[in-house]
Amino acid sequence: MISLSFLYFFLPVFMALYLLLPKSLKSRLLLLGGIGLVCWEEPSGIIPVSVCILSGYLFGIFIHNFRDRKISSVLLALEVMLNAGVLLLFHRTAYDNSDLLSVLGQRSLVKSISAIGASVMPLHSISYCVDVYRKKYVCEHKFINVAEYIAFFPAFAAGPILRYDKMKPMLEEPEITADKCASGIRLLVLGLFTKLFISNTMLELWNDVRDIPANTLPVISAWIGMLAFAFFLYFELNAFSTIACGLASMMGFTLPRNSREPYKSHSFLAFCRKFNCSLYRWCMEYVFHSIKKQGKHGVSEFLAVIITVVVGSLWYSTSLHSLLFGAALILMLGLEKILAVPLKKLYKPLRTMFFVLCLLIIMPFMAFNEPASALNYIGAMFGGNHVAVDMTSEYLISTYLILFVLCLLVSSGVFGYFFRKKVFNNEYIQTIMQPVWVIALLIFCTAFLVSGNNSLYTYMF
Amino acid sequence: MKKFSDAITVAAFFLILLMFAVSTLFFQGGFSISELTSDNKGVQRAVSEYVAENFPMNKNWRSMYTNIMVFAGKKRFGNTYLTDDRLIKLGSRNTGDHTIENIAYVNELAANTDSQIYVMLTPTAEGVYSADVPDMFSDKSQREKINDAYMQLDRRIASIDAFYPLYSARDEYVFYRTENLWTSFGAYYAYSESTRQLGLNAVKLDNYDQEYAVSDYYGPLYNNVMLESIKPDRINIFRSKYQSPVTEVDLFDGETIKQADSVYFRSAAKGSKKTDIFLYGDRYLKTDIYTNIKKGPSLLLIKGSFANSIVPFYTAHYSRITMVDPDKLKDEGMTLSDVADADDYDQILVLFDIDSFSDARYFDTLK
Repeated sequence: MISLSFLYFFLPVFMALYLLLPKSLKSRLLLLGGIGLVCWEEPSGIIPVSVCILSGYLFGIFIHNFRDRKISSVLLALEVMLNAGVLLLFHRTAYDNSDLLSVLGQRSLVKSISAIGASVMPLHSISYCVDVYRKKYVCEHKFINVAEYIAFFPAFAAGPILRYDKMKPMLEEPEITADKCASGIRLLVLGLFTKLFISNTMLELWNDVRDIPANTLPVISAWIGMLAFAFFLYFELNAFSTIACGLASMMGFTLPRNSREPYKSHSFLAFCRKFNCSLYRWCMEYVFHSIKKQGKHGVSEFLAVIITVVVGSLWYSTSLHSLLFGAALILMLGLEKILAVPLKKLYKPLRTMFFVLCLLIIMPFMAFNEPASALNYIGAMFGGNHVAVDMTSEYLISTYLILFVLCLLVSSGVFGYFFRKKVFNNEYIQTIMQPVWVIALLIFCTAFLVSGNNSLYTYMF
Repeated sequence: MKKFSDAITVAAFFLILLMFAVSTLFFQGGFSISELTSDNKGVQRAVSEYVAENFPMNKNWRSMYTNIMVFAGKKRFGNTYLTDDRLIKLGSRNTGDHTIENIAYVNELAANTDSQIYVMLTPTAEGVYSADVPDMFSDKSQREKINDAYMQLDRRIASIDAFYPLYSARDEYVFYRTENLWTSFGAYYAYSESTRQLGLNAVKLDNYDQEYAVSDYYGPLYNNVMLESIKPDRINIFRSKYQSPVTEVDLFDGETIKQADSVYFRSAAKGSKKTDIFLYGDRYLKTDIYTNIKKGPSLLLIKGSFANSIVPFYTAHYSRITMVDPDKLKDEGMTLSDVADADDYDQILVLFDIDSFSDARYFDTLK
């Protein structure tokens, strides 16, 4: 979704048709757009789209029809297994092209294909059926509504993960206004800017550091590299979510914000909640609360935490490194729970710094595919090579200083603070400035897209 | 007021999209979609490339991107590194190093011929200006790489050190600023050094007239970044003050032979790769150069790109020089014995830059 052909050809044509068509056809166009995008990237992508849509729609009806009977639980289990299968088979991250089947050595069993949206559609399908099973709402008989919700293409790249009950009114009556369209355009160009300028540069920096053999890596370079990876992870998710919100807003939908300054958290639990809000909500609602017995603590809660973290980690990448990072995260959550009392006594900024430090220490498990490489890297971060700084570190600092400062300002919420406080709230200035900065960012992003080599299109999700 | 601002935003945004989309489709003719789909890269990738290549003001966008990133502090653009005054091509990292394998093929060639073999592995600008390039972009210094390769050579093979003369002259114009090749000056320094080993007396620079064949040349490295602050290159030709010894040049592309009477091809200066002015660059599989020095020795040159601009200097010493490009041999499915008999030559020189030599997968054609 980040390409010149998408921005300059697909988007204007799609939006023109979307605005011109009557309401009844808008939803069909939206569905067609989603399927078209998936098939454009990979024609076999039609398989996961079809499975998710059909399973969601049919199982939703069956579960509703057989409600209060045991068979509805069996049907729900089938639905979950089917969609989990789609996630494991078709979701592969472009970051390292990894998937769990390759790790297990079974990739040869299934054709090696990946499809965009394969991380989002199964979650939509499952949440819809679980809600029907829990009788939050009755099943939807209009196929187009369910299909449109499951294959809602603005959210394909990295969410936000949506809920059917929240989407239904908008699907039936999208509110298309100039205000929403302008706001969507602003979000779209901001997301593109974040992805092309910040996230890609951080990934490039991380790739440079990763290529240095761990046994020669100085301490400073190792920390810079890990900080860059942490920024890349955050801005990548943030950029795609912002683009999703922007596209949806242009079409008359309002999507929830997906991340809320996670690196300002003072605990791992808060970090999980803020890093990917919609995924956190989904995991808590459909995994954690399904496993943990009500009012009980102990084994069931512990088990629920483990499974929830594993599911959440696999969403980012169905690979071994995600599982290892998940394991490290469970360990940290456990330690946090044990040390809850002394930690609470700490001064908040100090807690935040302590949290960021711990996060950066476990981050190599997410960045490397092999546990040994991650451990070697952690060793280098703590001076395992007895070199604190070298020419490379100086080069990294001098080259990326401006971007690091920018990343720190954005991720620490300085810009958000000014925005919330309405510092630049002069109506006249806003009237002039808003179109100007939108066009400026569009020009900026176009320059990146035109000159982009293949590495520009490497993305995490 | 806000409504007005929103309306302007929406209108301007879609107007810009539409304007460039229409211009890309109907008013640019750089590449056709059929041209891009011809090499089986898939429709999706071909369309992306088509849009990027035909996008209006393509060069301006790319220049703008580079300027923004340079302002932000970036110095590496893909495999091109930007120093204060030049662009340096970075050697490929994380790819297999085939140096030992290739040296083995050269040793095998030496074992199968009576002719004396010489090997000259030259540094690139990355090696000579290594102080300007952070260590993280190269696995090993080029000097070490060359020395390691020479250590593996058979005793019968003589090695020629091109690193030291080029490194000593690094403040002069020995490498192009926008292309990964040495200039005629750089080639001359390497030539002077090599003549000692080859048993020749180098022709002094005073015996040549310098001609500026191309004055504003932007090479392929510039095309990667489009950075205006980099000065263009000039391509110099060193013409003998006396009559040129070259009598005939035969260029063989695997099927036909083209004849010429000079080692300089001015028509190449009109193309995009102007350094092809020297023996048409790497376009030909085999090039035979005959001179009027009838009693001179003959030379078989197994060559990489760096050889093209050094050969004009060698024409003052040899009766015949045969240049063979093993890369082209591989493409044509041929071997050295199909185009030349190594025993027919007095000397054999293998001349490559160390990066190309390490990456090459075509030295099996020397069998």
